[in-house]
Amino acid sequence: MVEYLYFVISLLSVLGGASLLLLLTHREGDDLYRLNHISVLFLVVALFAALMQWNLGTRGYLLEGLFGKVLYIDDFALLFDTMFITGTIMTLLINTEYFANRRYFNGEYFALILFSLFGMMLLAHSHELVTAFIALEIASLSVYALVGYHKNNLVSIEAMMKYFTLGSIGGILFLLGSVIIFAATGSTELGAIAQYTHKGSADLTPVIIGATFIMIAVMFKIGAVPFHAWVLDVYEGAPFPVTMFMASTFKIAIFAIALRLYIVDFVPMHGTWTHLLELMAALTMLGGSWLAITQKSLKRMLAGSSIVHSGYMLIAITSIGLGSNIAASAIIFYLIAYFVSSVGAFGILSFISATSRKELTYDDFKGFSERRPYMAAMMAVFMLSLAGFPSTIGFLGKFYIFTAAIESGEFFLAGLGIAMAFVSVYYYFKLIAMIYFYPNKEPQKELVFNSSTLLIILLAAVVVLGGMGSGLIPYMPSADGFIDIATAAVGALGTPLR
Amino acid sequence: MLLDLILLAPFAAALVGGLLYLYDPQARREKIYSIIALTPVLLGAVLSLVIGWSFIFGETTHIESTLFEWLHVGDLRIALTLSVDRLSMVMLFFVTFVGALIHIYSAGYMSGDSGYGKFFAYLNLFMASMLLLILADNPVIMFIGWELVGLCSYLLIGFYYREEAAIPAANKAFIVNRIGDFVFIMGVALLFVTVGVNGFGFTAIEASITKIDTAMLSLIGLLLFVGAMGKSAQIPLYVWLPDAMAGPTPVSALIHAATMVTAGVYMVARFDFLYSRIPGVGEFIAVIGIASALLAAVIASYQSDIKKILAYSTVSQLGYMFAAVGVGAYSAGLFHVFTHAFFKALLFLGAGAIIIALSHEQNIFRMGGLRKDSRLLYYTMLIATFSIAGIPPFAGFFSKDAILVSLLSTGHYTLWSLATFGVFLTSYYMFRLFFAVFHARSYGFRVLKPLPLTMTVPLVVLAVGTATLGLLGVGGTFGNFLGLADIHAEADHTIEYLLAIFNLFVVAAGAGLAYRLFAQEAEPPNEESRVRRLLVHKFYIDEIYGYVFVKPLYFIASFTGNLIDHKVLGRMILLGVEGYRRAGEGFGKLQNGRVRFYTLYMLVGISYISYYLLSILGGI
Amino acid sequence: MYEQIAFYLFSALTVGLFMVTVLSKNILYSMTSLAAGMVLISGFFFLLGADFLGVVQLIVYVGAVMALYAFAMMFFDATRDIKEKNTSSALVFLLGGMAALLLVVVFAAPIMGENIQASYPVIEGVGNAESVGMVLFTKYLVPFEVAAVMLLVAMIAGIILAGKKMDHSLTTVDDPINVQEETK
Repeated sequence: MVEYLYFVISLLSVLGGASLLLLLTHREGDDLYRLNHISVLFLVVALFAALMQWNLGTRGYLLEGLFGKVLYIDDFALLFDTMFITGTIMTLLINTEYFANRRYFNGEYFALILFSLFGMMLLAHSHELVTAFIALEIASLSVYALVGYHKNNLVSIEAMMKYFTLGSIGGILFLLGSVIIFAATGSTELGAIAQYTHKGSADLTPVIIGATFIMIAVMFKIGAVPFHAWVLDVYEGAPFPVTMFMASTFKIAIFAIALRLYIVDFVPMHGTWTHLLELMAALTMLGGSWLAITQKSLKRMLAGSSIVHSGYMLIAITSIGLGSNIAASAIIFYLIAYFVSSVGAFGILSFISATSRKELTYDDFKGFSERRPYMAAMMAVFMLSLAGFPSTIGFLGKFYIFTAAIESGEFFLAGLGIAMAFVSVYYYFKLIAMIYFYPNKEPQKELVFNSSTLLIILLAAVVVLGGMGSGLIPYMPSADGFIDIATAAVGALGTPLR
Repeated sequence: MLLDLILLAPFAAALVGGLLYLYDPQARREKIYSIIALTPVLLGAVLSLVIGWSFIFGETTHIESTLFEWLHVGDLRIALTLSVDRLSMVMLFFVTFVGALIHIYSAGYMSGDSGYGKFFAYLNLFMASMLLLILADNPVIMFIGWELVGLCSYLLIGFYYREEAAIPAANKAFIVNRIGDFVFIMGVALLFVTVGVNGFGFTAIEASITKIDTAMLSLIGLLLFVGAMGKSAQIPLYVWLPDAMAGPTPVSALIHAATMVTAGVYMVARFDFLYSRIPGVGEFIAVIGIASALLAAVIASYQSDIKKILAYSTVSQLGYMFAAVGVGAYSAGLFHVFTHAFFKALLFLGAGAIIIALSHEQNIFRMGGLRKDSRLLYYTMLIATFSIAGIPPFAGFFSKDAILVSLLSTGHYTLWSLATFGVFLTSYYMFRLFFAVFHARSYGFRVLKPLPLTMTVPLVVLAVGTATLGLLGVGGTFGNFLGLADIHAEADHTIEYLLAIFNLFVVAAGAGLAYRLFAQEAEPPNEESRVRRLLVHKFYIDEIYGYVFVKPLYFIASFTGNLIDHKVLGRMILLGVEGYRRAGEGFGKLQNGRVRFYTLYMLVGISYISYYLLSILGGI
Repeated sequence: MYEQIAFYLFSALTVGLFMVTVLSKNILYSMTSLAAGMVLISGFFFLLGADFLGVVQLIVYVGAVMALYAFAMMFFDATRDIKEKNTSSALVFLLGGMAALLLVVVFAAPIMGENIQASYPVIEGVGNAESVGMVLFTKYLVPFEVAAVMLLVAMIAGIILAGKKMDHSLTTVDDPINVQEETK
């Protein structure tokens, strides 16, 4: 019972925080720091509550008598909760300066971020398609508004409109899929759907169609080719903190429900999708890297590269379908790895752009190592991790995914993935080269050291630790710890993994 | 708990000191730095005394403390466990004690240097790493310490990075050590493959050592020894040690004389259960040891740089230690490690004091007549020289005598006679140094810089230690305390005494020769004859290595670099890159910024998927 | 029999009216036919016995269209025809064709499944609204409640994006013109 209480605390803390922020927003005028800290306070409470229930072995519905089988609590969902909340805290704290230097931010910004987080947490816990849809829409609606937050900036507004239009199509597809599944199975509850699909005798055709539409919605959210086109424009148009939030936190949110569906409910249908997923994984990796190599703006480059990362995850999804034992943990590990590295990379970018108005390009980083030597080193660490350089967490993530692919016989995809990883070295290392091998043109600025810097250093430490052996520092999860976490999360899904 | 503190305190101090230095490298904070650096080291010395007390006077034979599990991959479970038994207790004692003295000395020696904070951060890191090496409960953690001390050695050799010689010397030390380390880790890996499943601590390995057949065991033993060759500067990997003298003198004393270089001997003694099963490999080790001892002694006799002479003498003394552990006399070897740490540290610190006093003069033939200038240096150096040459009752006499006795009593007569010749050479080159520095005609008028108290006190303490600690070995007390798997071949006591007296004559002969040649008029060695030129140039070993290893590597590298890589592969890759970039630009054109096109792409995708579904489900 | 006739009648009318919506060049015609089409769609619900949904359809969609109507009247010159900027009509047809194909798949699916049965069949004697309420407040309680949060978020988003100068109220300052210039 007490573990349910923790969950309720964590969920209500976020929702309550959001509501309180709405009330506070016009009371103080421009005191964004204060609002920021209040939201972080609520998030920290939520994070602690989420961590408290981790590894208690909880598996069950929240208040089944009252709510029915709608909200489910297990380690899988809790892992996502933790990542969402951490990502949000990072987004808020790293960007303190950014907010302070922009006039267009106000209290609702924090409320919307918290609402979005609420939606994502609900999504991770939802065990029912309608709830999942509504949760997804809560998260998405908030993000739409956040993307267009700079409403005097036409690029921002245009990005929001694009995202809104295309995102609605994605949402509709999710709903459509749910409806068809409901029509076929007579329930929207994941447990009942799983029972139906595993029955053996049932005709799965309508379920497959419905599930495919849901999967298309998922593909849209993670930006798989050909549903990728929004990614670059939206990432570019959004204010930097929002881009950071989207790329790191919101992007992995959809996996919370997608993996649950895919690993548990849709197991008998895996065979149907194999070729489709193979094709899409290949296209996504190629397309993403094509987009990334030609960009000059760092935001767009990272957007393109995030498409490539989706491609890697699609490889793992394909491998799950082919019965790979480690693919499920591999994808979770990859999610963690990608999450940490991209929070860091985007974090530094927005930290830097806090004081400058222009768009950050490769050229802006020339001689960065002389201006901010430590920040430059951190950036290099994140770039190395994103590129999958050994001794970083990104390397292990890729390593597990490729191992899973080879284990399931997907040699072509594994080969292509490795090739794409090599290509990614080009656009990531270009930045490192800019940082270190070009003379400094701008004058030396005063080095500031504040909580943002500290968090970025912490992230870099996690990135490096996560790529190395284990337990170098007690109580700090490193590679082994993360693998254990991923395995525990997958184990909680209760699938016949082995 | 004590152990954790001993290990973690210097690590923490290194971290704090390092961060403080990085925060503002220009700031002058010598007091703070030295407090930060000295506290954990002194604490370590006190704590190791406490541990030593409980070992000697109490019942304790083993202390263990697990910090956390460091690695867990498949069968490989490596916990960061620290353990002290009698062997490591001895190492622990002299490393912390000598280390503490050298830290104090350094506080005076480095005073005024701009890298003061950096130096002490490195030095603390070294102490921590060395302790990790000693206290490690399994070969993997030991290897971590092994690598870390190598790293610190590299950093400290290159400490005066503005000087021309420092960087190549640091690189040389690091690379040569890496060769050894690489082979060492291969040995550890082999050991794990053969017995690792039942736990990989030293005791677990000892318990399951019988499962390995002799051939494999010999291979492992050899591989591990190659690692020791690198770290402890034995033929053929000794070349880095003389160059390592480019570092600050306290570093030479601590790392390149007293502690790190003896790690190889310690490792062999730690694996005594392994080496006592493979006497063939042991003999090989002994041969290498004696060969190193003689070669280094011969070279030392023709050098004129005070630190180089001491470096070669270190190689030579390490050779004796390996000879002892090679023939199975582990406690004799360890005893020499112990005494050597004191007298060699004393010699180096004395040399450092001389160098400082003479404003960085290192050539012994330009010193001369120092006896009148500094009584303190004269007597401490005299004690050290007596000790290393092997004159009773100073420490070196007992340990060296024990080695010679063990060589003789195990029946290695050739090795023994060579070793005895080595004793003669040692006595010769050490007294040559001593007479040239203190007795020979003064090289003109000079004013000695006064030495601070922080430098003189460690000298005196070490001198007292050097003078007295040898008595620990009387009657085999030291060996009995260690309780290692010695190969016992008791010699007749009469022979032992006769041998001791004989050795004294040998030492006296060497000293006498040195007195005749150098006590009045010290002349630097000339390069007239071919043989002498060979000797002055250290047998041209460095040049030979250069021709045999370095030059061909350069050639291969430049060949592949300029021709294959650049002309062949480079062109091919450029072609591919260009094509890929074109593809990217083409694909980027699709990204035209219009929502309806984006919707079109989505619809194309959805339509294709629908078609795909239909083809699978509907059989179209 | 009557049901079938009614079904086909409604179908034909709905399709026809929506065709007008798409093809008409006058915005008011489009709006009107959209509203009419929505009304006719509610007819399907009534035919199926889903009275509640039929009413909801009428209220929600027709209401929404009315709001749209009002906006169209305000923002566009209703007397002028809308000129579409279509560079390639082929694209339009391609889009339309694909959408159509998609619809075929969607609607073909349940027929291929052929085991569709109502999960909550209309129970005789129990009101339609009542059964909807039963499901909504038992099984779908959480989504129903959380939908409120969604609406709240949507509202906030709308206010943020549309509302300008929320921090300044023109009624509380003496000189509105100065404030406007200040915030520009």
